[in-house]
Amino acid sequence: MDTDAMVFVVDDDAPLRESLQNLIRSVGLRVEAFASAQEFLDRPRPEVPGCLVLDVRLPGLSGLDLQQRMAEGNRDMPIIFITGHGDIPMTVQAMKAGAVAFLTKPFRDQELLDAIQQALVRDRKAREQRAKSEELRCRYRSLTPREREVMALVVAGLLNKQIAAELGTSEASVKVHRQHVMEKMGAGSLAALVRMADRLGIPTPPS
Amino acid sequence: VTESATSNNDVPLEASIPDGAVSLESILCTEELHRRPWRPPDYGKENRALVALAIALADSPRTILQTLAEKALEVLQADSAGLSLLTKDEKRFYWPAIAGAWQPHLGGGTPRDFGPCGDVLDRNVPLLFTHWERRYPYLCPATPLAEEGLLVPFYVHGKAVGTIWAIAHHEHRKFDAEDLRLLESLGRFASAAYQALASIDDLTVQIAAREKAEAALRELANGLEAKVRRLVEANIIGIVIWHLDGQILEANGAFLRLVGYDRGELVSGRVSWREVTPDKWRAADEQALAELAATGVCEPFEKEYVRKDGSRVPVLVGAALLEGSGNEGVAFVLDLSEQKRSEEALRRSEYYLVEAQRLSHTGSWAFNVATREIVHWSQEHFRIFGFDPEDGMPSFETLMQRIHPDDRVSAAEVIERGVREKTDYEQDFRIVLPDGTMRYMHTTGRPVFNSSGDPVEFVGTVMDVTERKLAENALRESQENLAWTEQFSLVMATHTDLEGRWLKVPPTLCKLLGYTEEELLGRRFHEFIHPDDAEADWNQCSRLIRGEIKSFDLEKRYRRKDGSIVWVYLNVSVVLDASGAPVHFRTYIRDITERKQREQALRQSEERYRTLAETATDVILTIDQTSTILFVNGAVEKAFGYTPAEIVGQKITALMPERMRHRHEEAIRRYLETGEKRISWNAVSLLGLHKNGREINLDVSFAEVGTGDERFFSGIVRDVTERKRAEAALHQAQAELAHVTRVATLGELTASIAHEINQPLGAVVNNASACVRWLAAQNMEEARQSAMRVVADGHRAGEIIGRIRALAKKAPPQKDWVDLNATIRDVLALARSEVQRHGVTVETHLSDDVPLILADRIQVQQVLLNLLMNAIEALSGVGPRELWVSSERMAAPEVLIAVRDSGPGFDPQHIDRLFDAFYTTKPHGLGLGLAISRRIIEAHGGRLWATANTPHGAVLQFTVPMGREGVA
Repeated sequence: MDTDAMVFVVDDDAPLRESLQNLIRSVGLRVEAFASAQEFLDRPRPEVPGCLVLDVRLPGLSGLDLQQRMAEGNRDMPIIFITGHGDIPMTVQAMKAGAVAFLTKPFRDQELLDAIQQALVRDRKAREQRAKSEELRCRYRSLTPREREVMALVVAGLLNKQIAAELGTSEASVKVHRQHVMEKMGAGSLAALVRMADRLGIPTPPS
Repeated sequence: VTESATSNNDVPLEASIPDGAVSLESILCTEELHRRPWRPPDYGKENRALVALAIALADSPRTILQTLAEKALEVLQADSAGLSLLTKDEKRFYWPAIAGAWQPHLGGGTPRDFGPCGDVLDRNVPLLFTHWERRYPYLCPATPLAEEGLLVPFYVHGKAVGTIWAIAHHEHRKFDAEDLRLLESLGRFASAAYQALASIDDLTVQIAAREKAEAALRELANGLEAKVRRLVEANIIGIVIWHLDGQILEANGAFLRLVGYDRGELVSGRVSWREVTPDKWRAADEQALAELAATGVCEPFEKEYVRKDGSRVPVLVGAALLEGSGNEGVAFVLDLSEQKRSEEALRRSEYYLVEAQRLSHTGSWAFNVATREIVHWSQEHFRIFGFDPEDGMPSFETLMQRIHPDDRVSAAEVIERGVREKTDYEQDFRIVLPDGTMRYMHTTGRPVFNSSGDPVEFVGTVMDVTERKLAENALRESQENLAWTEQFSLVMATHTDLEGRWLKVPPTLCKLLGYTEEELLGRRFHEFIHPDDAEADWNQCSRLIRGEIKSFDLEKRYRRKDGSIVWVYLNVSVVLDASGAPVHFRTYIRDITERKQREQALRQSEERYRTLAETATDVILTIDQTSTILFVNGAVEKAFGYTPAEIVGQKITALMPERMRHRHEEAIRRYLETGEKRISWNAVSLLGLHKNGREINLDVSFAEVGTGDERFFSGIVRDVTERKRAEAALHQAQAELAHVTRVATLGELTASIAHEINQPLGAVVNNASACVRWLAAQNMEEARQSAMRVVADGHRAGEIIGRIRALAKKAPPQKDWVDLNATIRDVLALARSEVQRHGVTVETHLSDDVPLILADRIQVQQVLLNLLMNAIEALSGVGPRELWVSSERMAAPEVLIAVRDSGPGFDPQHIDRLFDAFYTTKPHGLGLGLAISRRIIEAHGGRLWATANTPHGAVLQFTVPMGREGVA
């Protein structure tokens, strides 16, 4: 288990909330609990992998409302819904919106713990993904405007002399720029650079 | 005068009252003066004494005090009498004048502050002492000892300066109210005398000092005259100085008032003293003048004066010739009008009394309890008892001898009992007069008490009631006859011949039958008789003719001319001729229609009541005061299983369970003795005992009937066993219905309830799982805490289940002190899931000062749950879903609970039907919720009603009264 991960619990029923905390702590996870959705939203998000165990039916802002709010606020976090009533339309809605699991009380402890584990793994991956994208963008930002122009044309599949013609420069300078792009972006091959451009969303001009 | 008494002081003065002296109260008996029988006033004697004193004052002023003492002795018939005057230093009293047995003590006296005279002055009222030496031992040498001493104060210029007193040295002489009156009258004179003496003494001193001055003497003589005038002006006695020739030289105000002239008219000589005397009294005047001429004074005599207005005034006159003048004299005149009037009144009332006694044949009497001596015996009493007043009072024994021998013992006993028990008595007895006639007496007696509460005398009346007794006897006899005569008060006498033909018919009979005399005469009475009665009548008449009977009585009917029937009572006899042969019938007829109608009405009424009693479904019974059943109707069989024949004659307790019998007997006994009713006699719930041994519920009403010594109780007894059973069944059904609706409500809540139970169950599972993991990780502290959480969650689940089970349980209603706010919270907890599921926001406003209410907790929960569920239901599908629950303590001692919602509200047309059973707006509702809720609240003494909420929605609210012991 990750020792740095953090599990959040939102349930208005205090004894149940505490029992969830207890259970989650017993497997060595850090846990924080809230009685309402608003309390949870008010807390600053730590930069560690985490997940949210959320009661569907809450006074005030409901569980589904919170899920929507988080998606909109770019505070994505895997959510495990728990509910007292098996309510199919609600389950479908939650799962569509990306919930990890939808557990009906009373659930087996392992079900919850597995779901948490799964959610944490997902969050870690998502985080790693986000971290990689960020590095790439960082590298891209280090390119000069001319290098970016060259990169865009390279990944578009143009040859050096075509690029030079396009840019109205010499083939030799294109070559130099191309060399810089490959180095700065850390791309070992043209194929790798193309994948990066794709990830960065650099449009490929139509040939 | 006041400083002269220093000699002959044989009474030692003492500084203070010695130890052991009795209290003042114990030597006083003043109140007795008015309790003692007093002798009638002798105004003549009193007047003569006063006039004699007036003469003595004019004649020899220096001996006036001694004369006063002597007159007091004489008028009061005392043993000693005298005066006490305060010395000038006011330290003691001395005795300037004493008459009678104490004469040797003249000049003696008593200390101002420690003696009887001092007591009288201190209290400023007359006092009667008895054996004063018990308190004032220095009076012991003043012998003979005083049995009683009566002292009255006398005043000069409004100040008490001494006393005038009378002493009785013998036990038999007791002073009374008349003695007091006389002594006070003399006391007033003493005051005047004292003032006169003081004036004269002053004058004598002055004369001695200025003997030589002739002119001054005359002046002083004028001064004397002025002073004497002052004296006489102040006096109550009319004083007139006259000349033998008829001229009036001087007269005082009292005399002027007496005769109604003013001074000028008299003194000017225009009116002579002879003229103010009516002719009738001239002779008396002449006799007095002759007496004056012979002796210089005349004995006081009664006469009349003519007043200026012509009216007469009775007076007493005493006169003396003035020394040395020979022609002039002084007369003292006392107005006797008042005395004459009171004497007349007394005489009249005595006359009335005698006359009343004579007319009422009532005598009055008194006898001394101790000696049995008869002390009073009225004139009428002498006459009634046939004694001769000339022979004096009869002795008690002679009196008893007059009583009829048969009554003597009982009469004596009644008297003795009256004496012994000191009570009034009243009795009847007979006396036998010397001529042998017997008279009936009614006598009353009443004790007269002395100050120590012992009867000293009995006074009473005796009334000759012989006439009344005889009248009573006669009345009794005549009443016996009256029974017969009254029957014939409207008697019509007729004669019929031996064939029954009317020979003589009185007009009253004509009127009775509605025929004229002509129509009746000569007709046989048979024609007018009701056919059913004719035969009996004629049979009897035949027997009369045969001589078998002398007369007969018969009730029969006549048929009147108009066809109606009259009832008559007949007495028929036959008149015989000298040879004993029957001549004709003589018939007395009396109309008894009215009586017959009354009898019939009574019979019908009785019949009706009997029918009523016999056919009534309630048991009607009558018992006597021994509780024996005298009558009972047929209903007794259905109610108690006994036939009337079986139970009549038995005690009513046979119809009661064993354990109630004693209470009944006790209650009857108590009522008969004291009239006190232990329980109400109207519709009392009691237990009865059926013949088969079952106990039955009864409603009993009963009343006392009958009069006098015969006391009966009648009662109506209703078997209410069935009714009680039906009531119980109704209660049962209602309770079950309430339960059914409760369970139905719970059914609606199933989802909510499942959720409520799931919450703690989920917590149990979580904590238990955690516990296992903590154990595996060897973290004992966390494991322990987890286990404790499991326990807590388990309890929570148990509570929720208990709450639901209580609602679902079929429990008999049970009242307890209920916290309404807690109940509201409980119900909200039960319905929480339902509230959330419907997205309803609940706000509570629960007042802190809501007291505990005596109520059935489950039933109140049911009502609250019902209102809450209705509100949630109403809110589904509307915009803002809000619900408010409030509790509030009202001014009237009650609590108001309201559940309001923001739903669509009621259709106003149906608001009245909301509480009807089976009225529902829900697709699956029973329609019983509100009907039962209202019944529950009303059973708690409260109200449940619905109103519209503003701006929209509904309010359902109810009140529950606070218990008397409600605590906040």
